[in-house]
Amino acid sequence: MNDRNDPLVRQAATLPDEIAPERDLWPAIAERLNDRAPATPVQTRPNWPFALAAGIALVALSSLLTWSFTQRDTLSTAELVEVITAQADPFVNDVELIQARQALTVSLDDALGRLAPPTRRKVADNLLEIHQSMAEIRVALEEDPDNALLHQLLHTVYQQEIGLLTDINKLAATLPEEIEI
Amino acid sequence: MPAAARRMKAVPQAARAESALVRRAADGDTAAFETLYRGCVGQIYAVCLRMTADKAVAEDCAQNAFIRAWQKLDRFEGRSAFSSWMHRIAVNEVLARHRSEGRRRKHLEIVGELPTGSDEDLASRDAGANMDLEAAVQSLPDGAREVFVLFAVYGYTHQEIADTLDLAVGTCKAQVHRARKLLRARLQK
Repeated sequence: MNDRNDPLVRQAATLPDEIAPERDLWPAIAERLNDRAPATPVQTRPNWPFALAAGIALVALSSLLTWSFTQRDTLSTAELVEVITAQADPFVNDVELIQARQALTVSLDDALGRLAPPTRRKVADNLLEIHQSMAEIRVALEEDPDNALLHQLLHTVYQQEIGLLTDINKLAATLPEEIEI
Repeated sequence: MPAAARRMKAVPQAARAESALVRRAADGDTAAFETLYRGCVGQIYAVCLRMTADKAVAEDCAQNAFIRAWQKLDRFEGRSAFSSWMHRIAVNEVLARHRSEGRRRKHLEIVGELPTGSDEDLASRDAGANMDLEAAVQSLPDGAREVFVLFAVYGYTHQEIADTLDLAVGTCKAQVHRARKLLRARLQK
């Protein structure tokens, strides 16, 4: 006998399609859905046209400011702060790093203002050198955006900047407020 | 396409609504996914229960199947009904569960001589007989139950079962034969 003609097989084919579970399974499922984003593709890289334009702008701004500062004997604190906080870096998406920078630059203007002019000049030189390095790495990243080594290098330079900003804030905290005469 | 998938096929109007729900769910809309879940949870739990014969395991497999579906919604191409796609995920979930538990089922166990009865007598039972059959199917040994459920309840061909369970076609046929003999014996008690 063909298996399909077997009365038991025919009867089995008439069994109901559905059996309701004794409990609602949805709450446990819903809880686990939150553990992971659904099928929507997650953008893990910057928007490259935007990144390219932003990178070029950053490089140009940073280079221009660096050049202009190095041509002067004195340094404007406001301009230095502007270099550091100029624009979000499209190649950096490390939230902790971004937040740390934001926290350290909130009162940077004030902190730099407390430093003695020679100290301030030295700090400014270091900060500008760091930003020049960042600009050069960004140029390289525009050519080779998937280069992990360049991303790591950029991250390391940001860490150096954070170290320097931390030192500036610590040093400024030990000094009295600058009094305008 | 297995008959199971054909049986679960949605009507065209429903298919359009279902397609919209799938798109919304793929965009992260959990309410849309819940609607899809409500629409086929009975079918998915049924196949899990029939293949595992264990309510708790069946619930777990059904839940995992829906989680996997959520994770793979971007791969659902809409060429079949959502429930058909879910059915395949659920079957694979049950099989993966069995493999991970390291269950070594003996698909070709020697079946002892069992009393036989008239097939026609069995087929003519009233609707309540379905409940007996359901219980009898759940009492089958794992290997025979899985093959019989896919073949008889969900309409898979022997080749489809062989591919799904990674068995030889002859083994599938032997398991169906074995299941029929066991079921006849149990239903006659």
